[in-house]
Amino acid sequence: MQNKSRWIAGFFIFLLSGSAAFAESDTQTVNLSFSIEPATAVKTQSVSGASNVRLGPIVSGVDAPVETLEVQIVTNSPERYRVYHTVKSDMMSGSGDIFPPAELLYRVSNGAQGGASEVPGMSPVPAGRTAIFNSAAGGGSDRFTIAYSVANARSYGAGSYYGNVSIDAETF
Amino acid sequence: MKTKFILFLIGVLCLAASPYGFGGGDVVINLDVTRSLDFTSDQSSFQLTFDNYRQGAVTNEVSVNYTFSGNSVTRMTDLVSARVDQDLPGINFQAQMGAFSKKSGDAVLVPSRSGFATLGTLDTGLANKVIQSGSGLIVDGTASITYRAAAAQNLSAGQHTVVIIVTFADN
Repeated sequence: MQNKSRWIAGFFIFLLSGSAAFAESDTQTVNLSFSIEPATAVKTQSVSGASNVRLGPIVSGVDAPVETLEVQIVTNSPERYRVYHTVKSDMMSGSGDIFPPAELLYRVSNGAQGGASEVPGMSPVPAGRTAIFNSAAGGGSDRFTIAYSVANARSYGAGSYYGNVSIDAETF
Repeated sequence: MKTKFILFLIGVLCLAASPYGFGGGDVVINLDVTRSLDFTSDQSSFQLTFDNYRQGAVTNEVSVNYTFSGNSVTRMTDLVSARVDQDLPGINFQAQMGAFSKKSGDAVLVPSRSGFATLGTLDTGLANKVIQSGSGLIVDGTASITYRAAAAQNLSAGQHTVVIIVTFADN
């Protein structure tokens, strides 16, 4: 009887110590997928630091000032893209006078990373949406400038004129 | 069986294949055009000569070309006026506005009277404004003013100098 008690006690000790010595774990397999969407941003900022393009003062008969807008395309996509310039509203003064649309000029530089301008020379800003820049063949981020000026070959009505343009891009 | 805890991470890079666009927001363009008034002439002095001294004699005529440019011209009448700094007894100085040649703008100058106007020491209007389109605040062009003098009485010989003051006013 005494031997039997010892054996049972020893068996439990064996079980306890055994479970500690040979701990097992379940197999856990986790399949995790994630996607990185093509992210592209178009950023614009006046070179002078202003949030908008400010031309002036424009004095009749005097060379018109040039104000430059820097456009930055930040993308992780290798696709080619084209940048467009859209006149959303004509230049209008507070009293309702419209600045002659054909007198507003712009010029687009080539890109710092291989993109090409479609408006290399100072030209009138056309109404509506116009392609102004093509990315390099491999797409990718790039940076270029749009220089705005006025023809100043004539007199303009005195006042402050405001208009809206937008810059957007599209892959192709 | 001994196993290891295994974690599989499967990264899938998804790239869009179809064309898509992305915008950059609006940019405000602001143009400030200063108010200006520009008035020049192609000569600053000239000579008028009577070929006889009798009453009714008229000198030669001299035309002076002027450029008129203003971008806030609200005035409608007597935008161009002239006067002499002094009256000379027996001599009437006269001026006549010529045709306006428009360079740009939305208004033109027209003579305020037909024929010559006699100038005194007070301003005499020579030209008014006619609006062609829009606000009519922009006048930009050239015109000549022709000057001459007439003898109101028999004149004694001599040489006289008179200053003619021509004014282009926008309001």
